[in-house]
Amino acid sequence: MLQLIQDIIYNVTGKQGITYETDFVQDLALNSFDVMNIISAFEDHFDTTIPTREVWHLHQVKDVIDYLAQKGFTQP
Amino acid sequence: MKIQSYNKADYTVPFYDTFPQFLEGIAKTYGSRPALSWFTRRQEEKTLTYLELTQRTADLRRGLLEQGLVPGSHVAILSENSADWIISFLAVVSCGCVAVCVDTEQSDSIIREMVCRSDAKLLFLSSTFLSICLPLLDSGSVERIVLMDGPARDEGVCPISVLYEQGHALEAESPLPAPDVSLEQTAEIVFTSGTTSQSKMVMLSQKGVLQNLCDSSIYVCFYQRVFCSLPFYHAYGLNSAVLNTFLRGAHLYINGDLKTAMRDLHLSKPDTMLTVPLMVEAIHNQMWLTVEKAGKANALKTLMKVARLCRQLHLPVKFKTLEQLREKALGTLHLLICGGAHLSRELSEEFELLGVQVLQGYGITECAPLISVNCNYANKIGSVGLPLKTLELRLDDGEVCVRGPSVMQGYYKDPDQTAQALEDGWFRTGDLGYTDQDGFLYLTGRKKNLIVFKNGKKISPEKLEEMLSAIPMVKEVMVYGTANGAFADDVKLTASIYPDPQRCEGLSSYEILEHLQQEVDKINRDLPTYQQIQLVNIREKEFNKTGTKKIKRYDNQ
Repeated sequence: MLQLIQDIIYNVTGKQGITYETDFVQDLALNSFDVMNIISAFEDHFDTTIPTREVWHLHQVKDVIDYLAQKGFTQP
Repeated sequence: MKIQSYNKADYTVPFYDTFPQFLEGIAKTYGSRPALSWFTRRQEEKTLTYLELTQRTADLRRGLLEQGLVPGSHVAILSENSADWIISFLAVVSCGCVAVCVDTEQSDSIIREMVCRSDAKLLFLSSTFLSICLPLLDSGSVERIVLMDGPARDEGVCPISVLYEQGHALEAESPLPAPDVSLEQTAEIVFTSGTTSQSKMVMLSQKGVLQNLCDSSIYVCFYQRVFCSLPFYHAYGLNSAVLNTFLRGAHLYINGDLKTAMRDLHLSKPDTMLTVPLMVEAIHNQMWLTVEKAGKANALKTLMKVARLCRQLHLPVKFKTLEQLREKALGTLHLLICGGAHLSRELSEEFELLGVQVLQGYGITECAPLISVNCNYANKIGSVGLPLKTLELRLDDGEVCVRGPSVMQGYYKDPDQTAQALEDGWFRTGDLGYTDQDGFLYLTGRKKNLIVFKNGKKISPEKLEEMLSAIPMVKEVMVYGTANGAFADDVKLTASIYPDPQRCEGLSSYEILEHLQQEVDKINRDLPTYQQIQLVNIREKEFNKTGTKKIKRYDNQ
């Protein structure tokens, strides 16, 4: 899953070196629009919808993995 | 009335005083032209023509009147951007009621507080916000909710489709004439970011809103396909983008979600876009990322340098590679109208080299919102353009002050703040600037404490300081924007904290910082991304203060 997330973030933002603890805003210096684009790429990949207000709670890569796991997406 | 445009001899601008006149005018003038389009999640395009848009507005208005809505009532709208948002707004204002535009990016409790303070008894909302607002219905603060999507299961909640159907049946039988609405009737209540802990409710009149968009169309010509992903609860998105596009009979493509903004931008193939610097930078970064991945970045940088030189020497800039790049990255886009925050000169110039004109404007909610804008045929990069024709502008000790018909009526239920903001009709913007010999306005800074971000969002540091002060270990705190780039609004939100020495006894600096960071993270979790504190630093000494014990902001940063 981490590899998939690394690929998605690289494709959208060009950023590399992503770990479970990477914080989108503090570590990658992404703005709200970048974060939304990444979430949109996750939505497309998993064919799901992540409500915008729930995106506020996804700060780190591990939050995204937990969120997707809760929705039943554990495998790429 | 039609007056001659500033731009071209054959371009005329229609003028309207009230929303019933506006709707009648656009239906009659533009009829079967496409007015509004959007894309579904499956990328299907949906479109309403001007006739369909105005007819649906008339149906909904009739449905609302049938339900007992009385002119002058306040009706709140709380939803992501959608066609129903626009139709609800037009229905409300065209029957002489007041549309309260609620910021969807606020926390649940602030949203409820905004609705209550506005005295709205009827609430239009999307299902995202239903659970947040149901307590208002239970407590009696709101009498009725109209749900804009999905079936209604709760008592007191009515689906919008019922109002459309009811209104349509009645209109088909005996259509009501356009309601008689006064020019001075308040049309919109829009929330400001505010400099105090509570945002203020700006009242804009029917005449004020329409005058502002009519005035702006004297300076700026849109092309035919306009894209907007700006939120409608801001005056910029609603008045300058949505209503302005309808005034000109152009075709508006809307986006309901930032997550799909880029997708919809490509799907809608616009020639004109109204946006904020954040989006312009995102497009720019995406373009360069693609070029870098293709291994052509260095070649393009060299070509850009040559093109810039040609422009300086007043030689024509015509390079096939640049044209191909524009077509690939920007499609048919030829005009970018940018406001809300400062856009860098370098970025504007780069877009111009690619064949996309960038017009920077300047506005503030209290002015409905536009104050000045550059013109298609008179554009000075770096300036925020010429003040609107009906606005008087004066610089009071460098502060931009404006007076005119589009300036607000006042702050709702706040006569003290109104009296402070409006002096003999003059509104003090809090922005500092100067004008050049041709009358173009340039902004140099801000007098107020607001932190302005690239996406046009503004936040008052006091709001966040209040939240952070609730952390027991915090004795004093100051929030400010740390420069993150070359411009004032390219900022990282930073909290400088003086910890309570008693509570920190025996703890190392690292432990204190770690504890504070955990507490800040908890606060961040309930805040939209742009409001989250990105940096925390600890002070060893108390802040320098004024005689009245207020932190001296500029001494301590």
